[in-house]
Amino acid sequence: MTAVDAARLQFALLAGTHFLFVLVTLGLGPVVAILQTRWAAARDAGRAATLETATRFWGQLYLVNYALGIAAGIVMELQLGLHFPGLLDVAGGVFGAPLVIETMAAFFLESTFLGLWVFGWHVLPRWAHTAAFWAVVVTGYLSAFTVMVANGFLRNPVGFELVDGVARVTDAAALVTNPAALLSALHVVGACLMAGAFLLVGVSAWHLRRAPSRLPGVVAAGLPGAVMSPENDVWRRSMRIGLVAGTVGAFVATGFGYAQFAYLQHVPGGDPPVVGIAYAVMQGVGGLVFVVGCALLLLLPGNVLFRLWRPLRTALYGTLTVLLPVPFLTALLGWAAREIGRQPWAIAGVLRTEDAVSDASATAVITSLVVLVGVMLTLAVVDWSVMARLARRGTTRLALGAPPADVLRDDDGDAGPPAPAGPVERDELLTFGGAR
Amino acid sequence: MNALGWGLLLAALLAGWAVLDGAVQGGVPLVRTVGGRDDARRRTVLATVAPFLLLGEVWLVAAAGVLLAAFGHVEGTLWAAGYPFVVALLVAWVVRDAALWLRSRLPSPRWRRGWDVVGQAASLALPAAFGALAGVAWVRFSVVGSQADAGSGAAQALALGLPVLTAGLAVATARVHGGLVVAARAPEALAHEARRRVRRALVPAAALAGLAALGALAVAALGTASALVAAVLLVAVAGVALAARFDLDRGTPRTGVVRSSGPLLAVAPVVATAAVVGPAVLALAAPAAVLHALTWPVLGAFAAVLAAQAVSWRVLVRPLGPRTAVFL
Repeated sequence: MTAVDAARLQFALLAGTHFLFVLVTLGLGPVVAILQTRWAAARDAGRAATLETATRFWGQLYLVNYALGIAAGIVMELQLGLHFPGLLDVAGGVFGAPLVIETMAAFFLESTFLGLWVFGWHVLPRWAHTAAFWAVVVTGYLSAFTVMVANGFLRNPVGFELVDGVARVTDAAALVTNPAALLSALHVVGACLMAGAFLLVGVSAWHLRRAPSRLPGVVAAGLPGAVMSPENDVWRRSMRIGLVAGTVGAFVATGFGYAQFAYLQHVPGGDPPVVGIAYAVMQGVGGLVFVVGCALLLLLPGNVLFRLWRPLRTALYGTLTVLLPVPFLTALLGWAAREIGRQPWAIAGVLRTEDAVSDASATAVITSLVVLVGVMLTLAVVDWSVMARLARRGTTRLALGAPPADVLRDDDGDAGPPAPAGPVERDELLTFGGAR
Repeated sequence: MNALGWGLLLAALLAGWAVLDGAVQGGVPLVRTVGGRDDARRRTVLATVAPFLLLGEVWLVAAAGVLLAAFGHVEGTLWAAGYPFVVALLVAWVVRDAALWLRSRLPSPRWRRGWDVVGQAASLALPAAFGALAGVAWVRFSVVGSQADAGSGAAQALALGLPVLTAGLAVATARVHGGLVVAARAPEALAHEARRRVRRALVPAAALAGLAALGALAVAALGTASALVAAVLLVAVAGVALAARFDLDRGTPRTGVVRSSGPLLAVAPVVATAAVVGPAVLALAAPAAVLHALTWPVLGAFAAVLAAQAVSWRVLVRPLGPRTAVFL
């Protein structure tokens, strides 16, 4: 393997891993924000409790996903300088601008507001706390857009001139309104909404499939009708939101997917067969999700969906759970088509990939490939298995938004040997009511 | 904004990272030692540094963004010269974050203790890798690098020794700073234990600062005059560390010297590096047109970030109380 191949493979694997986390961050973010807004606005205590539980459950999954997403993003940020310095030498003046805006304006604020949201849970007034999460969502989308501006410039370079082999911005507006940035960003937003929706629907369906349709007490008393547990209410709401988000997402992703063909005809780049296959798969998945999503939406009024003939219902729930990875795999294909379709260019028509790679030795690049990709993939798999465990555990023992003493005591049962400290001291410690 | 302005912004971002993330780097290794075998005590130690995690690490991300946009050539040179340290920095950072976020998600004691060990190791490796990279910058962006390439024995010895020294300094200063943050926010039983560890770490930190000052003097002697500033700064920091140790020994842990010693020590490696490499780095800045075009968006964003961070510090950085959110 040459240094060029190793650098490209490393970038592809790390970006692919990062992208999987981004899909959930951007897809689940608006859902958590809407749930929390409705919780903040709820007058009825029961409704507020349900929405609070839903906010905390999905918020916790969002966080566990975000934890590795941020880590994978950090690794990505240094990839360009580490392995593709030619890209910065030629286009640093153009390409660096959206990236510095991304880190300074978007990501910096996003992380700050997320810290405020998680750790200011019991301190901030409810409206300020809700606003903090909306700020996380908005800055997250801004972050994604600036990255697409940078990536769009590679695919369809506009608004610049080459002076002595170095690119200079001549028209910043053209850079931002580049169809390869704007249309692609909207296409990605659709894909993210779809991915978040499949997570919502898949997890909710898993729980609904197992939930008794009637509470044991009701059955024992011989009363008719289906009575819902509060937890069931959370899953039904999540399922409804997921179906709406998924159908809208499929519509947006498909629409802006087709819209991109217009500019793609005019930019240089090869069209290997894998790109055509990827396009076909994306069109198929997007179209199917939209049609099936519309059909399921029609079953929502009157909760028909949740009252279907039982075998049909369990089969439907099972299918929806199994289909959870579909949008993620499709999105990976889409991303691969984007990058492979541009080759052999790093910047279409301006800079070849082989000329952008650093002169690091193949051994060094392969070593870092094994180390970084190995660590990242291992952590990603561990993170996904934790997310799966948390998703299955449901709404019991949520750490996010619980009082500190509950969080610390909650795990006492299985947290190892009894505390060495005396009961009084330990109590003081757990309630954080210590010496001050 | 000219190259100097961008250089100062870069230094400010790195200093912000050293103070905020330094609290995590220094606090996490205390989880096992101060927390003991009781999981709730361990989580209490974690809770003291938890808010600094999301608020702190982005400063380094932003610094990398500024480096990429305004000092692309510096980044290229530094990454090429310090390739293994960059990879080590990334791995340590990613593993540290994973350890912190994942350790409390599952109830199994083995899972939690395992991640605590991993987190402790990664929290030592992170400042070490950063410090080593700073040392590589000392070499590459001063006369030492070119003289070592030309075959000067003294310069070659410095090129090997400086990264080791700065790595040790970064680890030792983070340890002091993190310990003081834990001591300031934790209940008294844990705070007392944390202060004991800080007391023990202060003399090695002062010694390493003194050695790094000698290294800076050597760089200055070879011809990079700005390293003299670094030497003076490092001697002053060593003095602060010893004064803090004196106050802790007297049994007066709440003096101004002790309080300020944490942040002062934490920024010492960054400020000293800025002094040594400053002139060479500024000379390699991007063309004025690029710097100029980016000025207002970046300064505006930085102002917004500072406002958001200031609000967050006010809300989040208080002694642990019943309204503290525990997540890690």
